[in-house]
Amino acid sequence: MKLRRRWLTALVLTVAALLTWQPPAVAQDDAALDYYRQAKINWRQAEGQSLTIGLNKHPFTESLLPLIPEFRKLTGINVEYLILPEAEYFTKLVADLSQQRGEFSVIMTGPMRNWQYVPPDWILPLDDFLNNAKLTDKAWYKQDDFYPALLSANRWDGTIGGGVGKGPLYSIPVLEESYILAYRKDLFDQYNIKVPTNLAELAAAAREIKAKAGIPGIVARGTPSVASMGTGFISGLKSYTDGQWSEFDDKLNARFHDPRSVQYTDAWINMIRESGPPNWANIQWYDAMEMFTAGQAGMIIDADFFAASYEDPKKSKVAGKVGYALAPAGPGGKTYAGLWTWALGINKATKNKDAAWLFIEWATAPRTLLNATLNYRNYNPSRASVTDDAKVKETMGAWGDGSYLRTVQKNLETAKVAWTPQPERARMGDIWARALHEIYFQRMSAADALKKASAEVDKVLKEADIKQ
Amino acid sequence: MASPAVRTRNVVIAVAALILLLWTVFPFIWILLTSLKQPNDIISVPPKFVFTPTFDNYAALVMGEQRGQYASTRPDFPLFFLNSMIISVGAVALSLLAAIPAAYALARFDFPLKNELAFIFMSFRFVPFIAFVIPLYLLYQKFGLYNTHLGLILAYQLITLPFTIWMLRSFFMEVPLEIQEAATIDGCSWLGVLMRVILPLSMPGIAVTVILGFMFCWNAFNYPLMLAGRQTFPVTVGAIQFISYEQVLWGQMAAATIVAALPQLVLSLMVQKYIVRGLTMGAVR
Repeated sequence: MKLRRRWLTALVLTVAALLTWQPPAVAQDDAALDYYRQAKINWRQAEGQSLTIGLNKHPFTESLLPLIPEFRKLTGINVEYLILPEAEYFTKLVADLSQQRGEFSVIMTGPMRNWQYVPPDWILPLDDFLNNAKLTDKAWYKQDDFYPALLSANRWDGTIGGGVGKGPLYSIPVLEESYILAYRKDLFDQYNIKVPTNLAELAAAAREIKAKAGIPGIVARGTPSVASMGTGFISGLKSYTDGQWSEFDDKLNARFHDPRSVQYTDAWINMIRESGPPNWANIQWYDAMEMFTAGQAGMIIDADFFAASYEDPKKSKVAGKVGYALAPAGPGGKTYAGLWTWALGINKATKNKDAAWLFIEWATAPRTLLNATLNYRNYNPSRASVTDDAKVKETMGAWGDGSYLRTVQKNLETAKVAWTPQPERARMGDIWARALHEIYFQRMSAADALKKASAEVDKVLKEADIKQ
Repeated sequence: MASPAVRTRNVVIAVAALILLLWTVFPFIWILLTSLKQPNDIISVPPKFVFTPTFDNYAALVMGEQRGQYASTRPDFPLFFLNSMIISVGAVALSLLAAIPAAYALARFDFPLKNELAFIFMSFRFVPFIAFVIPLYLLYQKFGLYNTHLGLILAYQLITLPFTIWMLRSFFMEVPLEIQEAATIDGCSWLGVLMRVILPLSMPGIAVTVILGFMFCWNAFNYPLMLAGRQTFPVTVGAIQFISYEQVLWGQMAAATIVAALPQLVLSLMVQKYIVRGLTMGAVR
């Protein structure tokens, strides 16, 4: 009886301990606060105000959460937060933005998202905050430290069909995502295969890997959705046309059936059908990434920072066996990869705009972003100073025997947002992706399928009153 | 001793039942195995059936953080579980309270526009959620119901109330009119008929309705996504938080799914005999 009661007590205590257990707080040393207080602004100018930040589930977000008490201590601003995965996050965010409720003050956005939020006037340009000496100590904040390509990707002058890199800055980048080739260096060495530099060599290498190693030579996203189009495929197409091709001519007529686009698409799909995974049509980003991580594909052209997974010995079978190179170039010998940045912006309907900016300034300051990369794997850094940090270099610099970092930096010289600003991008991308399926399953020729896609996109744009 | 033909038939039926069982249970087994795997076992090709099990994924649910370096995440799972309980129990209870009188009236009384009214209740099930959710979102923000348990319980009535009314109505109609008349002759009022005759006789049906309603609530995703916040998210919205930007934490998501399925499993086992009776009630016997 007594024994049983003791067990019961132990059980109750254990459960209570489990329920009240909190992750250990990150040391809130005064060194951190001292660092932020070096900025010649009054951090406490919005003391007592409250912010709700709506963020996408992401390593950067994970890195901020433990630091929120520190931000409160610094500014006296209360921060509430909501974090959801990408799809659900955008559903909820758009509901809030479109109703102008101002539920979220600080939002996570990025170039293509801004094109959707700027025309209806949902988000604020940030230049006025950056140039206001009361709010921003420019010398301390070091705006020039951000990679120019990333800041420019977040600028837009509001023109449908162009204007990226011009006009106001709508969000501050917290990471860089571009698209590079990752390949199984061990297999390439073993079978004496040359790292491909153009589309024909890519297809040949994929064929050889499949024949000799018995695994798919290349893996790529394949679901019939816009999400399949914007990484490896569009980067290849841009490069194949020496950066000349885009979805529209200057009168917003769709150009998917442009002869160069047809040639490229035909060659790409042939390669996938011949040497890709048999279930290509169902492959999502994580399937593609996990296939490569599990050693089930010879090559992948997708987000550069997937390397953090490839090189993680805890879950990867290919850690230390991967080489990195630019995505195959076009006739001009250059690669023009696409680009995306997650970035922080301000909801126009929010009441506490200055507090929101203080949060962004704090969250994108060099030290905060360095912590995100060092301790939470927020790859790739948006600030050069973070990439150059000795400890970061130790990690990223080791991937692919240094080929990773070299490739990422070389790639950034020519990478830019691949899409053309227009509000129907997602629908257009879906139509385009379905055309690829028509070709893959040999229901239509590449020329016919892409011609049909162009016609459909033209119709969508007309219906949306975007073009005459 | 059964004849060879009968024996063959029995074997065939048994094998068929086994195949059907495997077919049905396999996804569940697979999720259970995934929840016990390390990340590199999860993505291994070909899939592994033999591996060293780990309880890290379950520990991560309770403690809110993955042990080890490959991921960190804080999805507050115990809180989400509690929220699911509060909201689902609350929603089903409220639905029952409102539906019993409504179903009784629709089953046993005649009044103008009776069938039209019943149809209007039903029609709430036809309307896609998006038609309700934006107006609700605005109203809730205005009246302080946004991100509250009460707000969700009210919104869930769109899921449970029409269904509960229609289910109960059909069960109430099953009760023979003669019994009701006998009770009336013995001096029961209309309320007495409901309380003393109809409800006791419909218990299996009510049990089934409660279980199914609870399951619908427990599985609801869109309403809580739009109308709840971090403090009131249920497990459905909680479980997707394991999808991150550069990786998906399949192990933790599987563990969350298993834990989230437990209440439904336990409830179903408890009232299993009622379910079988309830599901066949109203059928031609």
